[in-house]
Amino acid sequence: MTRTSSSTPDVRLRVPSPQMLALPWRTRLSEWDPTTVALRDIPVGPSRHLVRFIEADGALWALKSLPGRLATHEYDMLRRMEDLELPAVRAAGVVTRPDGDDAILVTHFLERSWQYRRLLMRIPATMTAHRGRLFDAMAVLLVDLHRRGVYWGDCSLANTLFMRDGQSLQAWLVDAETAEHHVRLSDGQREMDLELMVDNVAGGLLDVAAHRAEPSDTVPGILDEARSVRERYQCLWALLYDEPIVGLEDHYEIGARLRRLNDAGFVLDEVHLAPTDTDSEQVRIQVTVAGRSYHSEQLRRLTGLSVGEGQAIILLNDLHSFHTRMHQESRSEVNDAEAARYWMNECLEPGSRRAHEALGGRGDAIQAYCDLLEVRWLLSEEAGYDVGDIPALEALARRRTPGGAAANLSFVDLPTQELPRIADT
Amino acid sequence: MANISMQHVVKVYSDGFRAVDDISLEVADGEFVILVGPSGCGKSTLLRMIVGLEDITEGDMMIDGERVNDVAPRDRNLAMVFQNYALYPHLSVFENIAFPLRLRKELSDEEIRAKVEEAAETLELTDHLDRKPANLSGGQRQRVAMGRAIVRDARVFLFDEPLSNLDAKLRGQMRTEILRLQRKLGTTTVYVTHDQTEAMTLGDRVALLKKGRIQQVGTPRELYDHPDNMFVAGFIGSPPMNFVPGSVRDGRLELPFVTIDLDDELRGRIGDRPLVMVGIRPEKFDDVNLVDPSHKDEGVTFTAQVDVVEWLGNEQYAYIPFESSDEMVKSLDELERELDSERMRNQLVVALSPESLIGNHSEATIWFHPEHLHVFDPETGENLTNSRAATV
Repeated sequence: MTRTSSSTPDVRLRVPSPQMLALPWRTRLSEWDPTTVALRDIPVGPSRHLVRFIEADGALWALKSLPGRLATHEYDMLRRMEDLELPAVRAAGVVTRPDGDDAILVTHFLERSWQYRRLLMRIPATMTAHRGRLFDAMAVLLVDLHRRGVYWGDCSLANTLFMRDGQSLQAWLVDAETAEHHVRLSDGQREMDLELMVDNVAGGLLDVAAHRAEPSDTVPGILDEARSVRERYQCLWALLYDEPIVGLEDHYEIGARLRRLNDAGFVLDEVHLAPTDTDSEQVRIQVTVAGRSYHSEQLRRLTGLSVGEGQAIILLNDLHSFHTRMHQESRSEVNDAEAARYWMNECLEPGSRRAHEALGGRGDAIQAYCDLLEVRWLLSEEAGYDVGDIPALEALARRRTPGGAAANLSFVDLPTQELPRIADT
Repeated sequence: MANISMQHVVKVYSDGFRAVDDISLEVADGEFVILVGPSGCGKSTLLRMIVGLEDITEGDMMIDGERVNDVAPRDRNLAMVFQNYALYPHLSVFENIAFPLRLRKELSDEEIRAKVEEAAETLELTDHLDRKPANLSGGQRQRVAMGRAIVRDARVFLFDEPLSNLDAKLRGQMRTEILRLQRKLGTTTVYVTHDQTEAMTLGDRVALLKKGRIQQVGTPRELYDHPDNMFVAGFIGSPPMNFVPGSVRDGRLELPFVTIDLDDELRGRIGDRPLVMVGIRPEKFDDVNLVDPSHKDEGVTFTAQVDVVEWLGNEQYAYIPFESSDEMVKSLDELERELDSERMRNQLVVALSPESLIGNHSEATIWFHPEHLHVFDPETGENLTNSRAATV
């Protein structure tokens, strides 16, 4: 039977602000008019589907056009990942049409994030330490997804956004079209995902190298880098899921393992010392972890600040040093809460402001402060004494930070300014 | 090259859901087998069990005589084609195909070159090896993706609904490409689709699944002409088979629009059943005016009120409403749910040749041959007119 097709779309929005509601949902995304819609000119990597960015009600949004079935699946998956507190872009809405094509998926624009090309185009294949942070981030993301039962199915650099997080990078999943959520992933599923990731990381790296016209002798090294993602993943997975056997009284061994987990950012939910089959005093250590937010939660408890795990590690160190100094200088006990308050007023607030200025307003102030602390620490190590803030600020301003410093990646962050409207360009 | 032998394979999820419920299926070396069925029937799960993406709860998955239940996916030497088809814009077509081989470190540069060139020849991409993907057509780009699977010398190709996200034109093109490729390479292939047209045009054999079980396995023609039950009959063929209730009285079969005599064989097959479900495909009807007079008498004619005629250029469909009893309606509703469709309304769909002049809201005289009737048991759905089914 013929069907009369209505052009009325089915609109689901989680942020139904006025400008968002007023967007031309009846029209296919490819036909949105830059003179009437606030489209923003933001570079996007090669994508199977059309992606556009818009500004509405003071925020930026990413809109993707794709078949209706895929759009609703992806919308549901992103919402599931939000519930699981996984690092994925946040779903803001989905608009489907009766003919099934040209649905639109709306997600929050991930502030402060950038694509891998932005980093890799500017650092040659020889800068292995910086590149290594990227691979660590990919491996950590995949472990996070897998331990919560999420199979990605299309893991690649192109489907990821990165954010500086203290001295490391945090990777965020961008494309959930092929993602699945299971109660637990089988070894086969984890393995396929990992293999896809290694393949796609290799492809992405080789592509950038070709774009930069790198000589062909860099290829073996690049392939090794891609393979290293597998090792990084497996190391972290083993740390979480291996069940080493130790003596029940071996508190040192047990404590060391738990500390390694905390250092890797994991909050421990439960430690189970299970008796083994043998008669001996041996036990099997089984650890269940909650989130990867050990340091960020500590910092939040003390200061109310919400920062990334990598940033929290650096800031906590600074806070603890400050607390120790306070204690020494005042010769009396200062409790954690008080020390935290003083630290925020005397160190964090002025320090982050100055560091942010020194970096020309790039990125955000908290990250700038982390960079300042790192550079100050590195310069002090070289000098053999605490050089203080001034030389570190100068180094940041002049872009003459010590080699290997994560602060060197500050150029990757975008300056916080208005992004141009497409109609203006 | 390999044969696959699935023996009493079962998949039960942790919540107790039996996605695959005792399936045994053989795929011969070089055969192209399609797994088809409505969503949730277990076809994708079965494919994933072959690949190693799903653990097998019970039963044996044998590839070339080796039990692979506990073998890691990468060690099974199978290729999921189109699974990873991102093309890298700055790499040549050659490198796009070659780099996964380089990653595995087992082959020398010369060996890699040989494999890629061989695959390119099979895919008719030889002249494009030095070009960048942006300069290729949509179909050529899909072939580059296939190239990645071919160079791995996988013993089985697996496809999981690869065409569902392509536009109609590209879908048709790719279907031909896949078939041509499989014929050329002769690689054992298992292909999952929910689209019965795709299943019928691509496969050597088709396995139709429902709720984790195989309903019927056979060539497309076998499923089309000799469906074992109502589910198979209703799923295969587009537009779908008409189902009408039939009462058996005094050796005659009473359908809503006509009563026909039953020959001995059919009467024997129906047995004591007072009620049956009768199926007849839309294209088995004809406008009586267009039937060759020499065999008009072999068939049955009836006159009925046509509601609407849909003209599509190369064919027309006439919709003829009819009445049926409550219990028949119930059993048709059930079938409709299983087939995931809304097709079982109380109307006959008749495919007419474009020359027919039957119009909307008119009375028409329609002809059909009784040998094209399928008679089904209304409870079990079993096809009583299928010689194979009757001997079981």
